[in-house]
Amino acid sequence: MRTVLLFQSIHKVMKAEKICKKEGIEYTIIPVPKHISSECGMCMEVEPERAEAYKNILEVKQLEVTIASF
Amino acid sequence: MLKLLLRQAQWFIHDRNLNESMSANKYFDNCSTSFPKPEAVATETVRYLTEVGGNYGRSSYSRVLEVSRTVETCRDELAELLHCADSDQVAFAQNATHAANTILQGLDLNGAHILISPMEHNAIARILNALQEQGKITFETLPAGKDGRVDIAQIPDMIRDNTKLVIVNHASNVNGVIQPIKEIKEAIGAIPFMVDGAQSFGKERIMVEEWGIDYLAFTGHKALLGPTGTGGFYARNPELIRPLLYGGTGSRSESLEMPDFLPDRFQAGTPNIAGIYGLLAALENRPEPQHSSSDFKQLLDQIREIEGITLWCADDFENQCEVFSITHRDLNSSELSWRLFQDHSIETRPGLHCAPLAHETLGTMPVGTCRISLSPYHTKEDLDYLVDCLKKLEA
Repeated sequence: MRTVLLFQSIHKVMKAEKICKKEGIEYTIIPVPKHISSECGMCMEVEPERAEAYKNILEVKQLEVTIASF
Repeated sequence: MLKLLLRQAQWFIHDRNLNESMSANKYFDNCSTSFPKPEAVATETVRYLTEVGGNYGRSSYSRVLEVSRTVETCRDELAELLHCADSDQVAFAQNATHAANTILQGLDLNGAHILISPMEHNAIARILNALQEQGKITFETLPAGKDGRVDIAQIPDMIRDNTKLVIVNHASNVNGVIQPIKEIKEAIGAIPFMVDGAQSFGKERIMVEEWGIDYLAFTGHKALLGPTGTGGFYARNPELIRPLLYGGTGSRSESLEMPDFLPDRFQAGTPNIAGIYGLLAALENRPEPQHSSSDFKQLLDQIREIEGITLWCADDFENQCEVFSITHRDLNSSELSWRLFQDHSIETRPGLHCAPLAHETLGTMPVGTCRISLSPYHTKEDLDYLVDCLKKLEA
């Protein structure tokens, strides 16, 4: 199973990337898989077991995040 | 034959002056567009065009990521300079005029009475005039001192029940008077407040949140020293603005409606990526001013003393941006500007500077003035040269 963090816009993805770099979060930016609905074409693939913790870190920084698995 | 020789001689002088002006900083038309730019502006623009490539947010390969990071870093730095906590509220546009059109044509202003400063540029005035001709709004100018600085005490008398917007040009592009933005906002209370920052952003401190600014239009190619074709706006409540342009944003592509979220709502089509690379380079390589504020004050004081020349500037130096105008007793503004170039390679802008309202306020209609606008690259020696040339002009 793979897990991605979804954002509203490229602007938010780039904001999230800056935070991830600062927080030492490992991620890969990939295109949103076709079968997943997202407002933005980019997303962040992260380790599935850490997705919830990463989501919390980003939400503290006022970023809305949705977790999706495929 | 004689005519031909004369024309060739004129062109020789013209070219010589052009070459001379290109080797020294006699360019005093920075309010039209800044020159020179920091070297990195061209380097980064070319790097995008020759090495980076790729679009903004339209896929996830490396080029797209680099472009997206650069565009968003530029937005973040602009937000920081505007003292705005959330860069979501900053949208890119082609220039301040495009930004002002987006705001004023996008807000619901039907039936509105709009107050403007008496120093507005046509970038604002023509939009309002068009809206007025369409029967949507009425507008009138705020009372001001003789230098065009808004008289705060008279503002309450100008406000009507349907006053829905107040618009003020932060720094005049004619005489450089800086408006008391914070105080104007205090006087208008809850009425939304729009600022034209075309001339000031990059030169003067701007604090959109602390000063209570609701909308601010800016350009990238003047005081920010970036390339032409860049600019944007800040909006405290951007959801109140309908988009001016509709099209692809790289987001919510399944919908035929524009996204309602920011900044995508105002980003239809590919942005000026090459320009934004240059603008970011300008923001990150801002030069230290090569002349001081007292050098500038001395320049104004010296010009004020020259016989035959009238100086058009702020009444109080504290309210003076680094642009001002002059008129000459015997030469009209075009003749004055051309003489400065022909005789001394000094580049200025004559006429009305797209700001007829400002010239009406100053009493310099219809001939206008010869405008002189500085750059941080001007040295004290450049300013001294300008004074010497103006003195020679008199002689």
